[in-house]
Amino acid sequence: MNHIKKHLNLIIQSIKIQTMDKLEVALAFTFITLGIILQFTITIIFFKAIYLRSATIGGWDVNQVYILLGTYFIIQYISWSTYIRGFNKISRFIENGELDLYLSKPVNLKFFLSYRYIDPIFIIPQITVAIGLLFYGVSQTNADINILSYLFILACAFIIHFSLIVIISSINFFTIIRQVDHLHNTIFKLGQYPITIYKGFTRLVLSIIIPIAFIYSVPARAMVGDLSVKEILATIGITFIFYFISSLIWNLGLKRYESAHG
Amino acid sequence: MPIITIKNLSKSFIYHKKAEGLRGSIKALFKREKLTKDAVKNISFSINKGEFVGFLGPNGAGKTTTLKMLSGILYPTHGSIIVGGHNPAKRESEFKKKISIVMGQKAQLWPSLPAIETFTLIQKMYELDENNYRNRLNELANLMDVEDILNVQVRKLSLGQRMKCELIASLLHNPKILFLDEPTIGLDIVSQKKIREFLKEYNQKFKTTIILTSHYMDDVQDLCKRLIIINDGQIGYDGSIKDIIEEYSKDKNIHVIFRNKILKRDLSKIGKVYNYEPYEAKISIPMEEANKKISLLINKFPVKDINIKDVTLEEIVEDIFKNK
Repeated sequence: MNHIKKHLNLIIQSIKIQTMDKLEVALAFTFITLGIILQFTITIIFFKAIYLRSATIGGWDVNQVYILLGTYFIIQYISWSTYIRGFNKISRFIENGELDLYLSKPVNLKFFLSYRYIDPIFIIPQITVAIGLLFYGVSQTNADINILSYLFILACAFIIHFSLIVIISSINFFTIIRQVDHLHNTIFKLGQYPITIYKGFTRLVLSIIIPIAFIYSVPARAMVGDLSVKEILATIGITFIFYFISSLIWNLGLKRYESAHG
Repeated sequence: MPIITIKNLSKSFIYHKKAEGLRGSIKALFKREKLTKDAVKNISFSINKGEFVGFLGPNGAGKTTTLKMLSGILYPTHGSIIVGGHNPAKRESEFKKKISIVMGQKAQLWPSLPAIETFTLIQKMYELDENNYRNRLNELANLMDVEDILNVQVRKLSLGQRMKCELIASLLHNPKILFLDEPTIGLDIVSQKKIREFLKEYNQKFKTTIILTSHYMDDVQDLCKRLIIINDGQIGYDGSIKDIIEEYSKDKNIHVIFRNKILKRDLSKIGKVYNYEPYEAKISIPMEEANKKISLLINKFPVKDINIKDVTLEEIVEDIFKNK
């Protein structure tokens, strides 16, 4: 209980610090907001153009794809405003030895990094547009909506996503290549399309080895009540397995950490 | 009762060697030569509560690596460490609350915000009670004489003011053991002196155990009673500063400038010539023979100028570094 209270206090203080820091660059807010709107518009135009030629893609109609895209952007934006911001700094922290300071503090480094660089300002327009798109899809579809199931599976999706980010970031402890952070940027982009469009080996990889399907497509299907008990259990199983693996690799990485010499 | 005990401590780093140029880089993609660097070699020592110990060594001697193992940042390759009753390698929160490390070249303060904001984050991190935190902050700010700058953006502060705030950030949780790695690096003489005065007062007032690494001999001489010299990963000296100065003060160092060229072998009759040029030399003479030999030097040689001084700590340390 004390740990949760401590982390909550630290989250609140991190939000305050980051808000004050971001307000220093108020002009950037306008540009970022414009950028988000542009990114959304291009994505929507792209899917609209595709659905002009076909009523469904891989069994998904346009409204389900809006729910998928809404989910995709919710996860992308929340993660990019919270834990990815922290984990992307690891390579630099290892390079310049700044990680030393974090390791000497009485906090769980993995969680602390998740909110230390939280972006409480830019997340507002981002999340507003993402949720707007999700609910636009929900309002247009004829399917039975199951919000509770969606929220539960979305929570699992976040844990899997977080675990993958931790695994990818841990590579920094084992190799001198410092560009691994860009890996997830490319991998997770595959999630904005329904998993059913991928076939054979690619689909297997995206379902089990790098379970993108469980991060984006499965929550979207949960929203339209299209998920079996077996699939819900599989989601829970994958969540536990990936969280466990990520913790293992992360702890191993921290043990191998050699700091910047000097 | 020692608060820090280390036994047979070693740390090795594995690194890869790459041949020069593009060809070497391509070759290294397939085959790399794996090498091991023994940064710390089987060292042992213990430190008692409240001691202020100077930890000296040339660059790459292993002092920072040792400090990082003591603070739990690095895992040792061999040996055992007990700091405040804990094994630092376990990185337990209780252990981390007992220690603090200040690295002169690494900042924990948020540059675009006032230091007070980082202090509040640290308060939450160490779960400090609001009243205790306020009292402690006021006390430290008063000792450091920085009450007026706590609300100023860190990036607008001078290097000296920043270091004072860094020290406050590291001391807010009242650590029992403080590791200082080059805390005065880059500071001007006045700022260095102020930091030293603060550390001296702090150590006396709170009885905190402090280990200091510094390239500035004034830091060590002013603050530490005990000196540990590490060179090439091994301990070259562990004892009091007073003893080492007395030991080396058995000799007088003489810097002499001549009007004419002098041969080194003639000067050797006076004492140990440790630096020679035809018109200039540095000679070391045993204390008990000093008067006689200096008279001889002045009478027998065409002396233009002479400077006689006791050996400094800097020279002693330099000598130990060279002779290791």
